[in-house]
Amino acid sequence: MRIVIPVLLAVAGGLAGVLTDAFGGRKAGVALSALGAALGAGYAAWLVYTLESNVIAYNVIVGGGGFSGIPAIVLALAALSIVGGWAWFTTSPAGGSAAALVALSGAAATALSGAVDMLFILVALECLALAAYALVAQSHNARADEAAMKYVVQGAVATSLFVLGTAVLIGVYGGQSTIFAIQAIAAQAAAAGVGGMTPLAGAMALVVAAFAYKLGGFPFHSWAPDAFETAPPASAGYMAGAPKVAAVLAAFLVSSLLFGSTLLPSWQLSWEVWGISINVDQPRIAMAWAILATGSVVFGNLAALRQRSYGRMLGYSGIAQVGYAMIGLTVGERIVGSTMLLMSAYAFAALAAFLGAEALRCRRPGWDGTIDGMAGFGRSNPVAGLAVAVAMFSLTGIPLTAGFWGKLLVFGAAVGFGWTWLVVIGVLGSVVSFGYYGAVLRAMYFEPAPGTLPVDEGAMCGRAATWTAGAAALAVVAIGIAPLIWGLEFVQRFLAFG
Amino acid sequence: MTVINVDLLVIVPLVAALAAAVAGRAARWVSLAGSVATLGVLASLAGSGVFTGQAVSGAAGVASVVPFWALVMDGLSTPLVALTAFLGLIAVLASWGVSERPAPHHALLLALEAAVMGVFLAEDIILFYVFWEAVLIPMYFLIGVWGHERRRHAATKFFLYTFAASALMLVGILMAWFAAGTSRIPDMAADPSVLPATAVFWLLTIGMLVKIPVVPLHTWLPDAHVEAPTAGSIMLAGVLLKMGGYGLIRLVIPLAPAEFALQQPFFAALGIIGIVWGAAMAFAQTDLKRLVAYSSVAHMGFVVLAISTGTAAGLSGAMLGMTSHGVVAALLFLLVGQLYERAHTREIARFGGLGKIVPGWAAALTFGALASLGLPGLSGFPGEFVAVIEGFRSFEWWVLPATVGVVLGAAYNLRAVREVNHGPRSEKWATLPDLGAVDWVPVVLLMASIVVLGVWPRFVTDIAEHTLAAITMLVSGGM
Repeated sequence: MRIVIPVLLAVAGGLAGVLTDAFGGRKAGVALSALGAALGAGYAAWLVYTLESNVIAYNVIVGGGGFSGIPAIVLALAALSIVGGWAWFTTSPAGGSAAALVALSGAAATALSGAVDMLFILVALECLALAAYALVAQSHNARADEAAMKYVVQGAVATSLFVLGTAVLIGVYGGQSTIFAIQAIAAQAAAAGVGGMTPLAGAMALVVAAFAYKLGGFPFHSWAPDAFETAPPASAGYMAGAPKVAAVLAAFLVSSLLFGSTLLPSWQLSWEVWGISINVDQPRIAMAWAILATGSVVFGNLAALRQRSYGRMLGYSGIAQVGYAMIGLTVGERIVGSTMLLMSAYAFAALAAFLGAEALRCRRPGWDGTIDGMAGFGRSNPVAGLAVAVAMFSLTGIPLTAGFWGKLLVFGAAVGFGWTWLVVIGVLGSVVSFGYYGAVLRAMYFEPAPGTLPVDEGAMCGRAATWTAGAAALAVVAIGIAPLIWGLEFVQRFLAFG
Repeated sequence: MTVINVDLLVIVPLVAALAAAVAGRAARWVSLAGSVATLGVLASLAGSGVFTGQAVSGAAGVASVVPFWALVMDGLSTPLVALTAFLGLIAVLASWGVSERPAPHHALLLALEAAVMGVFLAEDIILFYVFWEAVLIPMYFLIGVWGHERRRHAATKFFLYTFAASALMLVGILMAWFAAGTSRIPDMAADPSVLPATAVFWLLTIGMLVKIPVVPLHTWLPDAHVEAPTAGSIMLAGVLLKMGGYGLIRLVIPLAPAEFALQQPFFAALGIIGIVWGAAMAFAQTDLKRLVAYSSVAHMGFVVLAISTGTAAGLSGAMLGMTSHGVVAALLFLLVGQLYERAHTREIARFGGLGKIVPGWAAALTFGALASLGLPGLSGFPGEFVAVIEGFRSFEWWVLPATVGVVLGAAYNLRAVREVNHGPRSEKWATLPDLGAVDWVPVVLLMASIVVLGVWPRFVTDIAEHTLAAITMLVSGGM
């Protein structure tokens, strides 16, 4: 049952961190939280190499292969964001507990990646959400409180949807909560012609809506921009990416194992426009994701274009990024690996983007959080600026970054499986996205830095953020370039889902 | 992966770019060494027969799952690779005096050279796309950071325009990739009938046409060319536009030959519109750099017209036109840049009598203008002559408007020379210094190459002949 050890390590780190902090050891506490997450990540990475086939533990969670690869990535993100936000976590009033929350949230995300029991998924999602609510409220001002409240209230609605869907599934299909059991009984019922599939379809609608909310997809997104804008950049870097990575994997498992079966009749409709076939003969689950993906890509990109605040822009652009992942969910389990690559690339780029902002906050204490306020940042802080630039290119999906491969493989497979129209939307969305990602590059490199800045070269604050952002950006570039020569083998090893 | 010289054509400038980035004040020497070394790599390939049109492959990627790295240098790539290596050196020399943050400037120039090399060498369609997009990054920063007054606008417009087109191209590439089950271009072209021809053709074509660019997709070009620093303009006009023409011949025709055969008149019309529109617009400009920028539209119109014929001679003409425009546009942008450095204006009307003040520069400008208008004996003539002749053989009297473009070409070039070099000598410019020794080096190199290509165009056509003949077979077979 080694596969749950990463969860335990992260939990232990977080608990030790919060205890140490309570007794006054702020720095040691933050370090312990980071250490727990890092050890968990390391152990999970070791599992990827030693446990090639998938195993199931306690009948609730799958590990091994990609199901350990995602925990490794999620926990690495947690550890990196604690290290990168060192200055903030060790100086802010509740910083010690915030660092512990990041580690614990990492543990919850780890548990969620590979969960195959509806109740277990519910608990993991709730743990993630609770940590996120608290992290959003960490800024201790009115806006943060409002954003956190909004998040909590909307989160409660999403939870109730999920609970309702799960209740239907458990109640109607035999009283068991594992996905496999529900699926088997539903299949029996279908074969015997008993009951019909209406409850399954209803549960699908509820569960998909709940996941769309947790992912921050349109039209369940309204909490996301506020949360990203008001959360301290150090923890926003973690929050923007890692929980979504885990949630996408969980959404894959639920939607393909439970709703992707042939039990539900598909929607059929097709026509053709100059060679591109618009082909709607797809499972209902696929259509549901396709509609959500379209909405998220279109809305997220257009809304992000109008933002002047950096954090808010990243929040809206996160909606669009989730939309691209939903294109992967549309195609289904055949491209789970590619979609997870896309999400992981997003998470690392988002981490670099937010840690870059953290470095900027340190160097320019008066920064108002706007994109215009980043003027000249690329020149005054070359490393942090370059990390943010790499993140922007990767989020756009420009080659030589990890983001390119994620989009290429997901879009490529989607074209191959007849979703060309959806890919056209995704591709056009990527073009639009350069409008706002490019605005950041423009401010950082094309504009001169405001002249009256207090330059505090010796400040420790910002150094950790700078170099962690640099490390994340370096990973993004390395994964962007290596596949050209070595193929995608080593990436796929982390993302092999049996 | 064993590195072969063909790979070095990409790797050497890339490594030099990294070195230049950290070289500080010595950056220009590092980048000079890098661009000369790249030319050296090219020369070392002579032994393997690339200059006789032989195809030489680079090392292949070592992966068993999705190996993308595959380079090949054949008759179609060699002239353009040589052009890129040559102009890479010219661009370095042209930015010798850059004083504002020279290290990143030179690093970006070399990175640009590496990326363009990759486009011309890629044998794999995914690798091709990777390099195609990678070109945008250094160019974006070169325009945006070192450009002139409206650089921010121009850089963004350049990026968004070409990114939008290449994103659509990516959809076409993905469709072809999946339908063919391979990403190697020759394997895809081996049986184009399995590809969704119409969609692949149009999606790829859009990407190429924006890059070339053809009227009415050209509006990014005047802004980008005018606002870019001199070295950026040289690379932009000299090699980046050629990516579009190269892509048409390398990808569009082989992957969708039947569709191309159907659409030849469409390309011809685009080419002719470009010739006339570009020349007319050039004639109307008051800014010397803008004039040169619009002349690029006209010259690339000849290239599109030549490609539209689909004949071996026509495609040779296109290759000639592209190499020639590469060196001619480079020379003109270099001269305009040198003038701007000295006078801080490019308004044609403000100059006059420069022939007496800066005779060396003025002579070079006259030479460049004559090459641009297609004087026989200089490089501009053979390519455009072939384009019109072959165009006439394919489309008969429909190409007549192109001759209007030829006349206009003479008109705007000579007008520029008259107004800038001749006329009353303005006292304001009396102290303008003429070209110094360092300035002369790239000018002379470019002038020499213009003469060589003009006198002996077979240097290009002999190399390309074999590859182009094979591509022509596809078109006629597809009819």
